[in-house]
Amino acid sequence: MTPFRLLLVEDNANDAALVTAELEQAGYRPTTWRVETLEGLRGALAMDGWDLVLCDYRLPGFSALQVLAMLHELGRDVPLIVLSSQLSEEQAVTLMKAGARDCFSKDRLTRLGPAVARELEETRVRRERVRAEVDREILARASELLTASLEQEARLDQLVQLLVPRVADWSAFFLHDLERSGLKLVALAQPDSARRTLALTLHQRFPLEPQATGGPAYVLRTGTPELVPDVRERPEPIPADAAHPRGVEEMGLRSVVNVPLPGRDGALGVLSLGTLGERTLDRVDLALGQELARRTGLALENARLFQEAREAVRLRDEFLTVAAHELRTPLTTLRLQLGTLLQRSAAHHLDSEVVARLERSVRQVRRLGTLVEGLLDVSQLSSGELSLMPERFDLEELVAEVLERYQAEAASAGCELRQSPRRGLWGTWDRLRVDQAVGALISNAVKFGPGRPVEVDVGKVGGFARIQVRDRGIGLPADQVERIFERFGRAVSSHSYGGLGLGLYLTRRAAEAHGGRAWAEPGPEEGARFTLELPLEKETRE
Amino acid sequence: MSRPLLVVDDDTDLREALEEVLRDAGYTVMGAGNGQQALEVLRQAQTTPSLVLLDMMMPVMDGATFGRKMRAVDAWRDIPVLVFSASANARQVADEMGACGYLRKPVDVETLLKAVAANKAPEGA
Repeated sequence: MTPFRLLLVEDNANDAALVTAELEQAGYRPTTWRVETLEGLRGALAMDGWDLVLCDYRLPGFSALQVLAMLHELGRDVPLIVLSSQLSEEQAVTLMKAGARDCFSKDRLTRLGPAVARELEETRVRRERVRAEVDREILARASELLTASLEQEARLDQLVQLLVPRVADWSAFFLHDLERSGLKLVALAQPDSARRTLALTLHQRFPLEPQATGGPAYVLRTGTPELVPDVRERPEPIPADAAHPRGVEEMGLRSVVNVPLPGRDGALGVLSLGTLGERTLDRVDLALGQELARRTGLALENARLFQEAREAVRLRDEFLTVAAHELRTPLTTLRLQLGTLLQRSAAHHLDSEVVARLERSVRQVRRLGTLVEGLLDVSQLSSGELSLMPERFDLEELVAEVLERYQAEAASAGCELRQSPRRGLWGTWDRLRVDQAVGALISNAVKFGPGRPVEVDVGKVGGFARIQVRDRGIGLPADQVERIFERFGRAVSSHSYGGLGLGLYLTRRAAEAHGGRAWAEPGPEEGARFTLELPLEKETRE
Repeated sequence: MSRPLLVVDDDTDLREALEEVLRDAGYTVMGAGNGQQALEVLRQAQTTPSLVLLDMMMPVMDGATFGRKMRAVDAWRDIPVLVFSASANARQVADEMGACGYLRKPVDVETLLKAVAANKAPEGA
């Protein structure tokens, strides 16, 4: 039979013995506490954990009605059955209205067994329902907390506060301290400040031993959750020092649950729950602890991965900056040397074939320079906005210059570059950035539309200057039109088409820095159409 | 005799390439591998240069320190400095040291010559 805790309010020792005998007859051996005075009753009700109250109707100085009122006032969900020698129907109705679960005469104690069975069961179901509700609420709130913030310690602190006092009397998070290969107490909820101090002292004086056969260190090492319903029955103290169990005793520790926080490479830490005094923890609390630990472990793992990813991006950007910087000096030397050679070619009567090769080298070095610039721009952009140096110029003239520069590349790809008739389109923009942006669009069109013409239209739409570059190449799937503007974004495999995937990204950032836009769409029949819009009014965004 | 240009860069290949380009364009050129050497060149020079083409990141003495020391000497205070840097914030650096302009590496022959011609002190000044 299930053990239960009975509060027997009865001033007559004979009647009390009769009740106990009757319960034994029905198969119950409860832990019974008998009180006969109002004072004794108050003392008993100050403790929680009663499963049933059996109460005489009339006692010296008080009645069952007062007991009911006290239970109600304390908010204790404990069923009360009134046992009386003589009870009028009217009195019974009053008692039932006041919350008594049952009333019957001491002459009919045979009813006691079934009534107790019924009340214990109903209470169990009712309490479980309440507890499930509390657990659900705690889990929901925990999930909110865990997703709300990436500040690890603050989160864990809020989480342990959530559990006290509803689930346990204290709660703590220990995290695996890799440097000291031990556990570090990172959050502790303990309503009583004296006990809190004691707990922190204990933790400092008795660091959790890696070889412990129980407790958080053991749970961390083995990954096995632990439920100790009564620490007094634990076979051996966790640290082999008598001061530790004394400290634990001083805290009044009763039940403990330790569950590992699961991580990808073993436990990340331990969630610890404990009760004090008469309150105990059971399998349901263990299950709640495990679910909480699972969610916490997941959130911590995500936070860690996020940190790692952020660090990787930072390192990459730093590397890009350093690499670009380092590449510039040799590039400068190369450019100047080739430039000098070309300038001297006439005086030195160089063969036209040699000159053609020199020119090709100049083009390639220039291209290398553009790539390096792109890398540097990207690393700069990840730390902020593009800074602009606006000046007034004719956009059509600039487009013509860019086309001229790409003429050789286009010719070798079999692309004819066509620009719409020029009428002059003046505005104030950053010449270098616009040059880069237009260059990226042309280079893109030539790369993906070899053997077909590339058309460039320059015109005005509303308050914007608009440059449209149209190719007749491999086209652009609708789901890729945004992706290609991302940093290192590409719509095709890097095995088939080279490039760093930076040109379009920089084009869009340059357009946005001017207060304009850049976008792509599949061409009307084939290929793709890229549009760059720049505001015609002066925009200065340093 | 026209006033020389002073090219300060720790990369020997680059410094020689710069000197070559500038000599081809008709300038007299002096070179130095860092700020310390540049101060020495200035001390020994018979004519004050009409322009210093100055790299920033150099061992022994960097460009910024050289700039400060040069400006502290009355005879050199007004020599125009053209910052020549691989750094992304070349413009900011140039502003801070009161340079007359900046060039960002890499640069090609035309741009270099244009910038030098535009920034050097006028003859006879």
